Amino acid sequence: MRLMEPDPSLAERTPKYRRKVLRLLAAATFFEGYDGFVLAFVLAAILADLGGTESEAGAIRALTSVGAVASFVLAAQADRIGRRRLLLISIAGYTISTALTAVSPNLAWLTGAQFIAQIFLGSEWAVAVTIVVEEFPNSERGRSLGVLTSMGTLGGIFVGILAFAGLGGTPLGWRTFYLVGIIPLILVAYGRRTMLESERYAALRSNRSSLSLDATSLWEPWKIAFRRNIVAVGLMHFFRYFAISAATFWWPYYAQQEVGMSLSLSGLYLAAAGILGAAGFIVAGRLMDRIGRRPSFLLYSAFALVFGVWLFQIHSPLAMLPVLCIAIFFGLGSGAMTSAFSTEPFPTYVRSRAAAWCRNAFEIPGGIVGPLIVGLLGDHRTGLIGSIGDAMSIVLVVVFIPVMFIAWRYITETRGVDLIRLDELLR
Amino acid sequence: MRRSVAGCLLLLAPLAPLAPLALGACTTVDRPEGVVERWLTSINQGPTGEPERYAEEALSEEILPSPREAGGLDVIEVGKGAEEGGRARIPYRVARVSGEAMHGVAELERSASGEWMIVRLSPEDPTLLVPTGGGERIGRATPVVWVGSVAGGLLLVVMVFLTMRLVGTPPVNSAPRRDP
Repeated sequence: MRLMEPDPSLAERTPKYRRKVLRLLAAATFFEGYDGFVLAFVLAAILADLGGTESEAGAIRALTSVGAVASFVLAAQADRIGRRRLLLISIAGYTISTALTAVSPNLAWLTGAQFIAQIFLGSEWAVAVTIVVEEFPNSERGRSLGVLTSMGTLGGIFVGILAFAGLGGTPLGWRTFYLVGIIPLILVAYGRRTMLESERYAALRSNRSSLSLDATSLWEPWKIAFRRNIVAVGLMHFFRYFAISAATFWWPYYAQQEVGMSLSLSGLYLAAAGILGAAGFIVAGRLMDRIGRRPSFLLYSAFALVFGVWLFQIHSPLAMLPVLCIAIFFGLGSGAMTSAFSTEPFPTYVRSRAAAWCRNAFEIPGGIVGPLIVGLLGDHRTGLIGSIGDAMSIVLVVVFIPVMFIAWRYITETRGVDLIRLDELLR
Repeated sequence: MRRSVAGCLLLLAPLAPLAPLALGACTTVDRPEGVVERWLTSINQGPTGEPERYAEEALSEEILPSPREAGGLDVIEVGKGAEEGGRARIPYRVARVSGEAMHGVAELERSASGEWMIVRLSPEDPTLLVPTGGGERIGRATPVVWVGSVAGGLLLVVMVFLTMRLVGTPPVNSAPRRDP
């Protein structure tokens, strides 16, 4: 690890500055959620414009998901090059990729642009969480994480709002959605002028004794001191997102094909529930600071399991809405806790790589495999169960039992953890 | 190298109980209800759909006349049907975006290649209803599967427990040291 000049700004972390940082990160994460959702939303229009079949659509989805896994390598660089630099690179990267997507002349170009976009989107999320953990004091860290993690969901909902407002009906059609995604370049310009390196990282790098720490090896989080946490948090991420990703992917299909709801009604339900679901992150953040990360996560997981199973057993559109809202509130909202689990237990010099392992190497593969398994089990023609609803409920039961077991038995409680003391343990 | 291999195996161990899920997912069943649903979905895809894989064009025209635009059907619903001796009768309900709704029964037969093909559309049958009309859903999990899901979750717990025991607890002062 190379020495940095002592950061004169270490004394400048005022509440006003922290709020400014949170606004910048929130905006960046909002567009991360926006960009992540646009493809799924406009894919049908893209196929109609550029030409393509359903199987090609599936291939596009699969390839872009691989990009999210590949973002692991980029996300891990924050320990080496700094959080601020990686954040700005990530925002610039996903914005340029989004612009390239907007001018795609064919499916191959679009797939390549979206693959690259996913790499930068994945790293932006990881480094944004790390920055919040390292900038905010113990008493505010949870609620700040809650605000940050809610923005991805709101960004996704914004896509639906723009579609409802008729953005797809403009002369540029689906490309307009991607042109909106260029706005974050303004954030890069703003961030370059106003944002400092995260407090903990700056303090570490200006400390001569950090020279002997390995800031580059991707395997550093697997050293004996951290391995137990990595395995526990990683497995929990995998199982949780296996179910959450499958549920969010399959719910529209379930609502339309198995409950008989119309496309427009299911879209309206999703928008309404998504907004309430964003509140789940905010409440989770405050609850984490009040009662602790583990109890909050166990509470959220228990409710996510109950309401998630119930959601996929309901066949009345009227009863669907409140259960959908509660399931999303708890199911997605627990993401605020998991972002704390993957960052807070680790010292600063390895934190970004640990988070990259938990999210990109464990969580995202879970998110790829989960929808696939549910689809295969629930396929109406060839599936063993023959019902997406029942397949989804079964999967929720199977994977949420170990999720709660891991959280109860193996996850370290980090409410009130002093990150400075954590770094000082490296003696 | 051996430690890396052992490490990978260690990490994959808790995922092993998911294998029955994956294997179950690969089991082949061929429901005629699924064929009817795919046919209606293909019609709804407009120019990119291939409804002729499941039925003749004349039948597809009854559901949605040409030229078809994608999304011409606002509602597609298929219920559990009746199957006997290579023939099946499957209830369906569709609603066009114009508001026009249609209920009926799709009749299927096995072709020479063994594939289900839709051969006729009949009027609604009160003994074969779609789920919103009080009929049965296409497929459902049996009580054994529900009990198995809890058992599967507990098996995953055991695998996680064994994995964490193998990972062990870090010894005191195992954190990387830095020079004084």
